[in-house]
Amino acid sequence: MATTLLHADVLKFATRERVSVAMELDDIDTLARNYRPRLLRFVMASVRDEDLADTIVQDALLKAYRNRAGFRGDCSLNTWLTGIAVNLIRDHARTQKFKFWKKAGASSVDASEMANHLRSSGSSPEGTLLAREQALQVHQAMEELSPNQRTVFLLRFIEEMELAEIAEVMDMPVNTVKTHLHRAVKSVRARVGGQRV
Amino acid sequence: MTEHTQNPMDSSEHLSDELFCELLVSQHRAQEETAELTEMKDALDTYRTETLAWAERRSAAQPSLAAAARRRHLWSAAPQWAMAAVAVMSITVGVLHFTGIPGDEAASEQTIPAASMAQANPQQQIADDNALLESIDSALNTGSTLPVDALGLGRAQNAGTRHHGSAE
Repeated sequence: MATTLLHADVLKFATRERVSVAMELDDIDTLARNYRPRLLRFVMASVRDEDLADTIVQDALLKAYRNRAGFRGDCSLNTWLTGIAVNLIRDHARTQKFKFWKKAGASSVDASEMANHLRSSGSSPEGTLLAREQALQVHQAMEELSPNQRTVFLLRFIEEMELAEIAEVMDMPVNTVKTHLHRAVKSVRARVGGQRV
Repeated sequence: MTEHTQNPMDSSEHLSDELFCELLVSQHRAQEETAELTEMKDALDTYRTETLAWAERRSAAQPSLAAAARRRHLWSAAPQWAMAAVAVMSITVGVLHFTGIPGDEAASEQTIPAASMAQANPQQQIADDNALLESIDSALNTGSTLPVDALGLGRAQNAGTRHHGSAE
């Protein structure tokens, strides 16, 4: 009896979730309001260019909206949207235009709006000031990572995704994700730790 | 893991990269945590919070996507409509071709009885064919026999011989 009730509750919850996701997907502005900031944070940290990040995020949201019938609910909507964004970033990485931006970004100090936001201390207490300084170092250390390492690092530590979710988003085995993650952490640790000592 | 439990917050203690990564990935604060690890976790927390604040501020300034979604929908729908129209036209032409348009219907009405008549009365058909051939022969015999006559060259040639003849 209890098992039947539990099963019914689970079904009811799943149905409610599905309806809620369908409502989010049916209204592009609701979709943008709920998911754009997180997508923008991830894409911006990946491509290091505000305008390009805006374009990719807009394309990802429009693509999701257009293909909403294809969302089967196997993963969360956030994971699905992040997967679309990862593919769009890969597509852009293949173009010459993106290579130009990447080269331009690597050859100069990261002067992006996001980096400036991290850099500006405002009236923060001293403890936060130190954390901000280290956050900026993490941001700059990620510049040195390969695209796969950076994506895995961001998805794990900034988007706080599980390794299995990252493997699904990046379409690679979990062990490969682990390898990229270990290398990324090693590299970031060396950069941030090196400046710390 | 046990070798790092002596002094958890001692910043001079060194974790291997693998252990550092494992501890960084884990959600809970471990006993083995060093000052370096704590600082890294705090830095990532700050990065997460600050960059989200930046992204929220920037997203709030972005225009609505509803108009873009409608525009994209029309653009993406246009080729589908064109393909559908081509498919409908192809099917219509095919159907008309094989079922026969009104003009063809008359022709088929004329040919089908003729064929059936031929099958019904072969003697009559042979007689009709012979009559047709004879009428063609007579038409050919009554006309000019020279192909050049069709171009009017025969008459010119005759006129030329007549001219030469008169000169003689």
